[in-house]
Amino acid sequence: MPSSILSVESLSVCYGSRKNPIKVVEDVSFDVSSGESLGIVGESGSGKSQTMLAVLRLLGQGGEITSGEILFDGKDLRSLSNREMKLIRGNGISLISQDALSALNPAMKVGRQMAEPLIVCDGMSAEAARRKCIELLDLVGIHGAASRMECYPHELSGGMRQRVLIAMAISRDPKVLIADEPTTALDVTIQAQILNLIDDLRKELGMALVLITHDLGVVAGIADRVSVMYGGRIVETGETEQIFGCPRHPYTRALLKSIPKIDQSRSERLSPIPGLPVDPRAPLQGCSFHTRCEYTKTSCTRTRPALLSADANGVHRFRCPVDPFGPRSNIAPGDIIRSEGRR
Amino acid sequence: MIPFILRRLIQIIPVIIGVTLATFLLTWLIPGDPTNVLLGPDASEEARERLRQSLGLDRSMVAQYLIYMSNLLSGNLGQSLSFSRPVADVLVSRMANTALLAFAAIVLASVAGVAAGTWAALRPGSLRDRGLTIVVLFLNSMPSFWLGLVLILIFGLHLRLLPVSGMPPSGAGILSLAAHMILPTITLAAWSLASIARMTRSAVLEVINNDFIRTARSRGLSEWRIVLFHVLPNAIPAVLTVIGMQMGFLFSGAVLTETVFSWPGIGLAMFQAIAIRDIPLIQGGILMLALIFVLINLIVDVLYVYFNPKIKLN
Repeated sequence: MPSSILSVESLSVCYGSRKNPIKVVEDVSFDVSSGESLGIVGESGSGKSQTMLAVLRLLGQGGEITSGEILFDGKDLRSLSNREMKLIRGNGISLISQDALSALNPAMKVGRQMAEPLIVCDGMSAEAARRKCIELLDLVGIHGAASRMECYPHELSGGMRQRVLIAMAISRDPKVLIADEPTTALDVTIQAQILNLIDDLRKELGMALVLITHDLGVVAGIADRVSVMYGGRIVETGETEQIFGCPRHPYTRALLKSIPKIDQSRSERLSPIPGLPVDPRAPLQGCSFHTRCEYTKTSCTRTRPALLSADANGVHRFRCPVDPFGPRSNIAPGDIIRSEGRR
Repeated sequence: MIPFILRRLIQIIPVIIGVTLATFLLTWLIPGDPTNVLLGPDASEEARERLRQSLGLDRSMVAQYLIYMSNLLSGNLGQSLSFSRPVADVLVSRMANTALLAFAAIVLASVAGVAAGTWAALRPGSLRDRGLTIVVLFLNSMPSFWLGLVLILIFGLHLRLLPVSGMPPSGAGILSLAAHMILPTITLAAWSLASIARMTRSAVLEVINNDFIRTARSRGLSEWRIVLFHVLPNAIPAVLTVIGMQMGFLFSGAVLTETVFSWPGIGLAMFQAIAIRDIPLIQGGILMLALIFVLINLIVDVLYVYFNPKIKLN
């Protein structure tokens, strides 16, 4: 395995008071190496965004990393001072936020917003920064870049704003690019363009990409590896082929089954996952999925499942000791869903 | 921007006409015969009649209003009874003193208010945040004349640090002027400062939780830069409205402060005019204060558009 640029080891994040902590991320580990792309999939509230904010040390008010290790380029990010952390943000690890509408400063022209860190942090001259910004806007496919620089964000379309955010995120040549639901606010045709753009840039610039999404189709098209999160924990991780081809965790499987298929007949109903996501304020004992899982055994309600290996080299791992879809299980693999990436 | 300003200027005209109408009607609303005031109760009926004719008081209300307006347009606001000088002269000479005080107060209130509000909002719920809430409540619920008297008592009488009354003669130099201004400025600014601080706090709190602040942080910008260039420009429009309103109040609110500190501004002149029913001066003063209020609102509107590019100019 190539040495990873960003590696997170048993990360836990809590919100709230010390007396009454609310665990939103628990024992999460992952790593990415340069040029590789990792997809993190989960429903709202599964802790995927909080994990990434924790990596950047940008948790909201009351949020705290309670344990774990975050190694970026050999540096332990948790031990850095605020000043040193500031130097990592933007040019070491950068972030594309999910809502392009609210992620740009409404009172500042696009060009100035883009150029600001280039001038302030990288010491470029205003003219050089301007040229670089025009180049970047060209790169992300915005026509008439020079005139767009003079626009305020509200004068741009949603797709264009998302492109501006991408241009901003790559403007300081980051080693790791975190894209947090980069396409949720966009319509489907623009979604595909934006995803292709991010993927092309990743290959071109040799960045590591962490793509956070709730959309399995998005991940299937782009990611080399996928981690599935549920209730603040990673329940299954592996190569994209493994996750889509032979999912081992009941949650992953249920998630794949709930995707509507284009060739499905209209009378056929979608199969949603019954129940509600876990409430982090009322954590469950044992496996966090046991209230919604159809294969629950009594042991699931007691002990927290550990990660088990599904293949020989330990790339494909999952957190389910019941393992209803394993090779020795008598449940047939059934209809294995391969969702087509939107490419 | 220029057409926008012109349009706003035109919109002001009916407001000004309304104000002149109100000040004109003041003479009709106040009970008593104006000749009584001018000539005294012992004057003969003939003398009264002559005065009425010379002042045009025997004509119809409309005709009188038109005379009043044409006088206004030629800069004639009448003769002040208490100062025995044209009202316009009195107002102009007093205006500078009031403006000096009001300007110093609004600068103090804005700078300190925005700074304190921002400072508190950066740590919501902290000790300093709660401290500010208490100070704001205190300043907002204290009448300015009381605060003025307390300040006089402490800094003037007990500590003997600062002059407590009037303005130094014009040759006394800037330091003496500044020393005389400190207490009245603080007194005048206190209420506005509290309001501005409270508004800033809530505006900053609203902005700081926005995604674009996180974007700015994720790009490696320093905290003070984010506050100065990303938070404040977005919080300022809301604060600006309050500052504009406060500024209008400062000019009219100067009546109390100027009286307490014997500051020779419009406020003190108005106070004296009301005491002896110097109607032309009261009229002129009200008109002037109303004009200032309208003008400041115009400036605030223009600044509002400047800070908030989303506002369409039509």
